[in-house]
Amino acid sequence: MIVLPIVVAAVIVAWGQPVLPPQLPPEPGSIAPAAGVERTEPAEPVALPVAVPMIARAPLDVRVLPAVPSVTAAAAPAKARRPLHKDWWFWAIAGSLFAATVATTYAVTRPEPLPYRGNIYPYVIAVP
Amino acid sequence: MTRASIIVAVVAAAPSLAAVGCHDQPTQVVLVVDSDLLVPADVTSFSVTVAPGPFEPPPDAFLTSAPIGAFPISVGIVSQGQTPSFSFVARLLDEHDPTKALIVLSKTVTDVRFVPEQTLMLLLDLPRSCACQGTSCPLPGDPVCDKITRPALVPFDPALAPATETAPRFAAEGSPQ
Repeated sequence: MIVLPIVVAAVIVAWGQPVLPPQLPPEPGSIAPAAGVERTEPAEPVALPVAVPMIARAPLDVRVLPAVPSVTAAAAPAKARRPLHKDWWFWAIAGSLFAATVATTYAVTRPEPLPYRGNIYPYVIAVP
Repeated sequence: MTRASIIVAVVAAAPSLAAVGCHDQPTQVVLVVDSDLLVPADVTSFSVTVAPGPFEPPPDAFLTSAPIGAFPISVGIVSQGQTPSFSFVARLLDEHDPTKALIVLSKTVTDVRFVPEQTLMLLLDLPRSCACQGTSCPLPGDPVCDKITRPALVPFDPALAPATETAPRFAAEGSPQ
């Protein structure tokens, strides 16, 4: 449990370290004399590489650039939603439901077929 | 979305469409009785006693007669689905004297088979040769006059059956509507 905060802190610290530019190799004319060698002639002043952290420097240099059309917006304009009633499948489903309703109503309400009725009493006899 | 929705809609509508043809047709036998006996000189009334099953109705069954206008006469016998067959006794009566009904001709038919959801017809001929003369009736042995078991039925033919109106509802067995 103690290790976790340490690891998190280490990650934060590592993530926050400024990135240093790579060390440039020294130029041929600016080779530093080896240690112990006596310097006989003064060399011309040489700009020593200075490690500068890559951070923004204030004030920021803000420039106004000409507007560039957004590639994303141009490529995919907002598609207008098509009305539901203009889709053929909407009418297919609605028609099916309407037909089912009509058929069900007819089936439920229509009278049952009647038996043949004789021409003399008792006309129709029901047998269990 | 489209294809699946259409399939779902069609599947949902299919049972409703199928239900349109779901009414059962009546299971019925139409009894058509014809005779060369004269109305009202020979016979005046008709009675029929029906019992479920393959056996002859009991002789003490309730008997109600109806006046005959002319031959042929017909009665519809409808199954309610519990028994596959029925039996009956048809009688032609002379009721010139209301206090003394005479059986002129009697015919017993047993084990008439229903066919589910079909209306069939039983053509029953009651000829004069089978009529009783006074108290003397034909003896058993005459195939024309004898009892019939499991008679042949024919498809219902409106041209042979007397024209009638359809019944609004079933009558109880043997009882008036």
